[in-house]
Amino acid sequence: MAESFFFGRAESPLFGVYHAPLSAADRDLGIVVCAPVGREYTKTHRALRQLALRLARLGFHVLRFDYRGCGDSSGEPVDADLGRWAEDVGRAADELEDRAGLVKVGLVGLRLGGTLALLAARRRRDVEAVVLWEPVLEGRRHLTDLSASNARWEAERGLPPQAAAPDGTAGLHGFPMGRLLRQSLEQLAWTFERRPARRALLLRELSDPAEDALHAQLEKHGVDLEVRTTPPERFWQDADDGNRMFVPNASLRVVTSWLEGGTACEN
Amino acid sequence: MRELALQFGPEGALSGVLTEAPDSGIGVAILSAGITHRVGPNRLHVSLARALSQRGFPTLRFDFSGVGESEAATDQDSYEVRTDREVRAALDVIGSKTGADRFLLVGLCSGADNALRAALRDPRVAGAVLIEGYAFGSRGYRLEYYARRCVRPETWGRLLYGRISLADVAAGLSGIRHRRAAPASEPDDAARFWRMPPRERIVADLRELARRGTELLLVNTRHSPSEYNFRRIVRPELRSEPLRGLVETKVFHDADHTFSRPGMRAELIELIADWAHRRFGRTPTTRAHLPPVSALAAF
Repeated sequence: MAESFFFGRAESPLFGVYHAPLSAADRDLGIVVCAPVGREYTKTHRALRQLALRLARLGFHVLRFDYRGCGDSSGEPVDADLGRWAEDVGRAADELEDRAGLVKVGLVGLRLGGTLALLAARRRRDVEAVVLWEPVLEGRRHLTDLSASNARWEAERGLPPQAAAPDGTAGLHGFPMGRLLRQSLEQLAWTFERRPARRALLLRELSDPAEDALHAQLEKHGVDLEVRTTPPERFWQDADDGNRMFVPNASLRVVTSWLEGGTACEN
Repeated sequence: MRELALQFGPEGALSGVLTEAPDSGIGVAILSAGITHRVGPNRLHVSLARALSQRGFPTLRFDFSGVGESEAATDQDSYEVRTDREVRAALDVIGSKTGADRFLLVGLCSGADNALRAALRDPRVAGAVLIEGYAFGSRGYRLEYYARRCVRPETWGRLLYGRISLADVAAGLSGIRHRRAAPASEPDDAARFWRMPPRERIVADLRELARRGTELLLVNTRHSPSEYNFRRIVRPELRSEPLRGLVETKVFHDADHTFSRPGMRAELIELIADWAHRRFGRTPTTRAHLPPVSALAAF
């Protein structure tokens, strides 16, 4: 059974769920699952829990967690930015290594979670594998897309347009996006001073021009990169509020088999 | 303010987070809504738990079995029987952790329906906040429902590709297919997830709670059938005994069903925290000494 707990700094605890290995295979790699944020966090919660359960059945130690200001963790989203959330990914990786007695981790990130996984990997030396599942690669375009979809979403609910608050905070699909997060998204850029991970999986429905710069950087630093195409699932932006949560089985199989294929296990 | 991750109920299969508070006479349980986990839509339940804790109420937000972090149920009980049992388990764990012996329940949508039923069956429940609960769509609601869908481009796309049945729309407008109530005599069905009780039963339930002295806060928005339901069914009852004085009501005319606007969410949280404090608060704290809820719930 999974274990829920709080970890990290006493003044800003993070909520986590640890899934211990459920098979005789005890793998030497811990997996930290990095969730999306805002409305996408809610829509993908079930899918990422299923991912953790499946990885645990394959013998992985898995930690899911909430960033500051998200889910059950402390804080408010208006105080967040990409840098702080990437720090939280690092804290989660430290926590998993301490808890499971491991020395290397894999980071699996969906949507903005993929972005944060790569940002966190840039700061660490113990990241074996990174899964970038429909990552946000261009911050400015992501903001534009969010604003456009939010306008449609609010119109469907009969909500009149609303300007940003005086401090720059704007509601996007109900998520209060603060000035700091917006600025950090606008400044998002992919440069690496050293290899962020030994291998990486990019999983996406359609190729994205922004991938080219990322590919070049990862290849330059010798990352073993594999690119796989997913079915058109887009389960994180399901228009139906609350009443449906899709589990993308095909993509989950790709992620679990890719991670399984690159790790040793002790039976 | 300290929060504890709890696993409780049979075999620790249920998952929740308890926000502690110094005054432990009355505890609060926030029930998960539908298949959205206990964090609530846009963290509504997290912000609410923290606001209630600041008013002196230890508050547990939890997932029903099969939702969020809770394990799937392994019994064959009906949805109603199981959720009632899980609410009791939640109150038990709040009591064991904090010493509380009376409780408030808070629920949104199906969480409100579950809170109403659990309140009837557990005498420890002193009050309940029902947000967007049971709803009978009136003709006015149905017209607005379809009018809103007419402005969606995807509606016209679905119509063009034959994915919308005009017969269904006509039936919906006439009310034939719209959340029809179950007969009063129909027994619980283990295979059924949810069915609207007849309005007579809802009114009888409210009267029974009032007779017991249970206080209620009913919250509705303009964007769901609940408000029409509330206007037609509940409001006349509130003017007479035994409900008079025990039930407070609020309609949010500018909010949607899940209070997705941060400002509306903050207003809702302030309303509930203030109601709990006025009706059940032990601490002499006045609102002037409390931090504004907006500090907890964004802008």
